[in-house]
Amino acid sequence: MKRLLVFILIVILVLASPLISSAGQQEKPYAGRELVVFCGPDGPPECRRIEPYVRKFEEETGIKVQWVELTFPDLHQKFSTMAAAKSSAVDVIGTWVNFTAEFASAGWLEDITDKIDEGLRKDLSSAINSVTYKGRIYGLPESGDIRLLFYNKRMFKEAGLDLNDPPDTWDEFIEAARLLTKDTDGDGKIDQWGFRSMGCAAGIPAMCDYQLFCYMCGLDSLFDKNDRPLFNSSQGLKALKLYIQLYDEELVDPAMYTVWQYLEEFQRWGAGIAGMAFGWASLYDYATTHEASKVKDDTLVAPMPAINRSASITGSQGFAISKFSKNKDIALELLKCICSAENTKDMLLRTGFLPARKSVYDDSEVKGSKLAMMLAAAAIQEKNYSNRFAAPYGSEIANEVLGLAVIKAIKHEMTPEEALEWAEAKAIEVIAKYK
Amino acid sequence: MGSKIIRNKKMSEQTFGMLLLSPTLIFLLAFVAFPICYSIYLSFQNVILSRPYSDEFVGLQNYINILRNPVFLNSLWKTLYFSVSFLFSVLVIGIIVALVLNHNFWGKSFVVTCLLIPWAIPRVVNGLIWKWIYDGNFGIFNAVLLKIGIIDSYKFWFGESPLVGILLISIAYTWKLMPFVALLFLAALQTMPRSLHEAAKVDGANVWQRFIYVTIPYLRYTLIIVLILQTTLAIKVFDIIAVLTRGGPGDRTMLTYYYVYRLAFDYLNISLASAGGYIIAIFIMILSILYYKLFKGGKD
Repeated sequence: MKRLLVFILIVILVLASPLISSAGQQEKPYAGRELVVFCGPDGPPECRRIEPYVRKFEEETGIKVQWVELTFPDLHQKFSTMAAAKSSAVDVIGTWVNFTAEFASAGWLEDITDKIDEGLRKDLSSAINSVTYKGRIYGLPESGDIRLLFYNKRMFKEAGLDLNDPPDTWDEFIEAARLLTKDTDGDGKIDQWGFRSMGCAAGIPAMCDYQLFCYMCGLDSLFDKNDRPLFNSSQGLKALKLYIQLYDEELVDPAMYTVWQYLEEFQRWGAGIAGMAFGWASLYDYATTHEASKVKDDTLVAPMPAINRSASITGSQGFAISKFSKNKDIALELLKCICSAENTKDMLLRTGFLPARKSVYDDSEVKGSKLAMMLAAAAIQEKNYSNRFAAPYGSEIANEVLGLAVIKAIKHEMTPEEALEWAEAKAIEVIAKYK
Repeated sequence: MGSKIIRNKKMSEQTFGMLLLSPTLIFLLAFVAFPICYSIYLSFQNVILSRPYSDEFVGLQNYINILRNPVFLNSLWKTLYFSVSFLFSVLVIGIIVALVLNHNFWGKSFVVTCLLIPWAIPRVVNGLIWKWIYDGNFGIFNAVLLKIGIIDSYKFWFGESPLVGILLISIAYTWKLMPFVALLFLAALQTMPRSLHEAAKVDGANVWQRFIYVTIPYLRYTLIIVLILQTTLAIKVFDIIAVLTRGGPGDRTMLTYYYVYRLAFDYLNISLASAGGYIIAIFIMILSILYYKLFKGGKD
């Protein structure tokens, strides 16, 4: 009898255990649901940018997030083919301005403009541009970035340049680049260069650099709102000629012909080869803290010098929701979590990526952090910037038209005038395909 | 009555045979025939994946557009240059290695094993190895050239002229594919009767003459197979470009096959990419026929 009672008790306990465990889970609002997220590179294992917040989100909500990390080209291909087939297999994708423009114009992203409250919208920094297309919002940013002038303290001192007065005009900048380009070991060969930027290894970075120079020369946009090219103008020509001047005078780190992935860019600055760079703000944390950086104590940062004006471009990233997702409600919750003030502040302090929220800049911990110099420069630059070029045909324009024309002009395969004429004609042809 | 039974039994064997073949046939229809037919259809349409409303019949316009595309045309010349340099090096080195391995020597098995290593390495890994070898900061290629005095400082080779970049890619590809070529030639050499060489020796032919007038004609059919296979591989080169240069800087190392991939997967222009792919396919078919006609020669 006693054994029978014990047996019955065990059976009751076994049958009741799922109920007991799920009672705890029912406190989690979305327990049992799943999200699939495709994202771009999230950083090395010892310093993941976004994933820690996703795991925290899982714990708080009970939602299981399948986090699929891909290179940006792979992400583009996977999502494009899935979206063309109207697949609901992916809910959220990592995005930047070009992807947002392309995917939103194709009708593949969920418009969430009306689902974002006014308070959040007002607090979002220029990083919102990464998920905006034609005035509509398709996601939330995870971080911001902006180009700043980086300069090397040691090299400036050796060249007799004033550390407290970095170049703020083009003439000062080019003069500094000339002084910083030299043979440091006496073997007759240049081994230190005055300048590096994104470079001309591919169309996209070449066009990014050219766009930056255009803005500095006073050209507000490469295309008008009717997609007509504006770069074949006196300002566009001046920008291209000044950019080419850096190469012609051999002031440019030769690695710029082959290196353009952002991590390789960071490593090149960290190797202490160049005296100045037009780098992304996120370079600052790498340069000043990474164990591989040789310029930890030598990296200084300031707003961009002016040609006609001091201007910069933004390079933020975000996450967008697939139009075909069956989990749009919880996808939006994930985006809000990643974009929260707490998480964006934590990401800034851990990794140096600019926050997607303006309020984070006023935080006392942030103001007093090791990133204060970079943040001060970024805050000044954010008053005078333009968005990175974004259009559904952006990739083709960069790789086959304008970016390619810039590279050919640098290599003297075309004159600057010929390059811009050719690029204008080709751009009109390419854009017509997308109308 | 007996013959009727036999006829029925035969038909049933045929039917049974078809049933056994049907999974393979279905697979071939679904994954070979259908994609080929559909991609031919797409090449006459205007399909851009990010433009779902763009699908319309355009006839031969895609073929015309791609043949007028300067990046595609440039890529054809670069592919030709790459193919010639790759074929020359892989054939010459492959034959030399095969001739050496056709003799017995101490350590031959070890040498053959080492020879197979490049062939066994996955293509992407091969690309990564050569990316490090050619690296402008600390690549061994620069180190060796600097040591022997050919260069006076480390260079970013892919930023030099396009021809230099393509030549370097061709070296990396040759390293990967030469073992297979050498093994094909070795297999052919090992079936060659020694009496042919002995007869030529008796007639007074020297080593070089025996090679040209005896060995090469004997290897003719192997040469045709190798040329067709390696030409196809050269024109279709993709993985090493994707890992080493992605066609850059700019379009300096943009070869045709990689460009067609870019049209399809970066620009999502499936129709134009299909047209480009079929132009390449037609070109390979023409070359294969030419090789066969040129090298099959007269009677043995």
